[in-house]
Amino acid sequence: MSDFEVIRSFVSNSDFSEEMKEALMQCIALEIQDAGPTEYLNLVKKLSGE
Amino acid sequence: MKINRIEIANFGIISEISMDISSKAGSLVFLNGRNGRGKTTFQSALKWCFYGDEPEPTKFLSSFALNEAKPGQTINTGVITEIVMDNSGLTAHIERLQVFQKTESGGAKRVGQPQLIVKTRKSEKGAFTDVLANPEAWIGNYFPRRLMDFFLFDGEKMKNFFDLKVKGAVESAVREIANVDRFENIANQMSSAEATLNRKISKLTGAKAEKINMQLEAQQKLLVDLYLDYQKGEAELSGKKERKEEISVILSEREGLTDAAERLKFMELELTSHREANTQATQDFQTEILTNGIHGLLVSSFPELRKQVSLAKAEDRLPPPFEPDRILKLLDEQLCICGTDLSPGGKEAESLKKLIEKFQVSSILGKVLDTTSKQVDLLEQKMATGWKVIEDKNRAIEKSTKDIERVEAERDRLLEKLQDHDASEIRLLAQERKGLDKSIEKLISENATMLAQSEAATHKLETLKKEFELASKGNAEAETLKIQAVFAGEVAKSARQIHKIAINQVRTRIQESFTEKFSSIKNGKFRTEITENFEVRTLNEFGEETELSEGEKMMKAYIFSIVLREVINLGFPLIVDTPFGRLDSPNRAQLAKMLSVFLKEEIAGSDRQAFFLMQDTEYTPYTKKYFETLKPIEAYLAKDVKFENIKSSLGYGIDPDWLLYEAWKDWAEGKIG
Repeated sequence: MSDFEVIRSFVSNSDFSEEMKEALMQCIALEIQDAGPTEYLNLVKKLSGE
Repeated sequence: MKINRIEIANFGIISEISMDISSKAGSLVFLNGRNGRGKTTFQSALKWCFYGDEPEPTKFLSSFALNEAKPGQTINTGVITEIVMDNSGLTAHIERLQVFQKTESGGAKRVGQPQLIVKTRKSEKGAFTDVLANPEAWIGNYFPRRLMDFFLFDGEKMKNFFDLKVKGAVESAVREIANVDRFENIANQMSSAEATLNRKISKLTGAKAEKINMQLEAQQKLLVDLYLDYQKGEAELSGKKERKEEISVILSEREGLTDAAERLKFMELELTSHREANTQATQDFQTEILTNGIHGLLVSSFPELRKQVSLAKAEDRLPPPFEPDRILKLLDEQLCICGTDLSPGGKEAESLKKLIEKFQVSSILGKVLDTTSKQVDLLEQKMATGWKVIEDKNRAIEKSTKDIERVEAERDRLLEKLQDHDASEIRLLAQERKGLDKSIEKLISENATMLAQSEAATHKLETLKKEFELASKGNAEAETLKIQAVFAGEVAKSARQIHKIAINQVRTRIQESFTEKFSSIKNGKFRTEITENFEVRTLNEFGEETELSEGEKMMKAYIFSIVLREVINLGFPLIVDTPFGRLDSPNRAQLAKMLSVFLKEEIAGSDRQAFFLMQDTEYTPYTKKYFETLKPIEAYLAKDVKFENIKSSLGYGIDPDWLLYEAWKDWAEGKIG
């Protein structure tokens, strides 16, 4: 539970596109780090540019 | 996870105990003790250690420690739990401490705030080197407060668990499993990124776009506020409904006691009235008995008189219905009032003279006899009436005695029911329920209004988004930012969707596992359904909701707790105060069977463990037999001979005190296998 395995499994088992799954996984990684708004904004810029 | 060591100091009745089971094999720990020895204190101490929830002030600082301390001296109330987190040996030392100081007046004051320290080490032995900077967050992660009820269980409440707490508990558990807060947070972070990007776009594309964006942000804020208010309202509604259900159960348990105080008062009045009636009837009865007794004596003292009267009647010697003097006067006048000639020497006159002479002889005695006889007759009549009155009064005494007995029995029954309950508390509960009904109605209406407002705001938001899109067209940099903003919006939407999906998936998994276990235990085709509102219903093979006994309800709570551990991969021990409560022997055997499977399985890469805190009426040699294969570690909280009511100490095995009595004595003598 502490290692976010459960919520990761929800994302990987979902019907979202691979792009969205990847985005959500990266968001979970940010959550683990207790990241703030800047990191999320950077993630959006990075992922939407790919 | 496996607790290795628990140390409690100066907490309630527990002055100082150190329970070290690190070298003992086994996953089941029995901590026994008679009532008042500190079992509940033990659980309460753990609750404080992990969650910081303090017991009532009188049950916090040990009164023994306070008595022993000198004024000005400090006393440390502390609890340490050492717990092996996983099979790699990672071990945590969790310590909570509150310092008190004894005042001059003999009371206690706190010195500073309670402190929480969490230290870890990478193996089961050695020093705890890693002191955690944020111990609260660490505990929140491994022992989520929302799952506290599944960690520190109260067996006494288990029978009502699915009636009172479960809706909130299931919802909390499911949300915890789904880590819903994280998805919520991701969604909020992405929405915030979207808003930041839109702000930049609006600045790049001119005043009109900026203005629309401001409206857009205001609308978004309104929606968030509405959502938060709605959630708050729903939580409040759920809390109030839960409280109402709780009150209803309490009141139904104390059925008929709602107006107990008034009824008692009325009964006392009724008793006084019946007692007065009884006293009056007794007095009347006694008076009547006395009067009739005297009459009886009088009547019975004249048997000869009665005999004489009867004889006089038979011989026609009783006074005639006319006066002889009057007849004599008629003779003197020589003419009867009926016109008969009464001349001297005549036949009628002679005959009348003879009759008068006869009556003149008997008249005096006859008069006396007649008067006395009439008086005796009167006395006899009075006696007959008196006996009737006596009978009536006797019936009245019997009735009022029965009334007194009935009302006294009724009052005693009520008092017995009230023994553990305060009548005024019951009245207050009934009043509170009425108040809750009104609040619930109001909240339902307010929440419905908020939903409608939210729909309207969403519609307006969509319109503003379109307007913003049009107003911000034409700027190359803005177009790039728009792509980013749309992407952020999509991620936010997906995060919210997955949150819902996750909850449903977990709900389904719990439902399936629960159904399987409960059905297997009950040997029937029971199905458990967890509704979208997180209500746990047990259905029979025809899909109808079934009524469960209190023992079955307890088993259901156990199963739910075990299922949660399996579905969540929840590793913390199961610590139950009064674990058997309403469980009869077959259910105890079933529980032992279920636990033996549960405790043998690993969970989240760590061992499982259960603590049962039991009193002598629930832990008997017969119950012990069910758990023999699990080889429980047995410990007990014993009374301190010198400080019986304020200090308990810890021992291992069966309390020697128990072995002196009944079944445990037979067990010690080998009479119970």
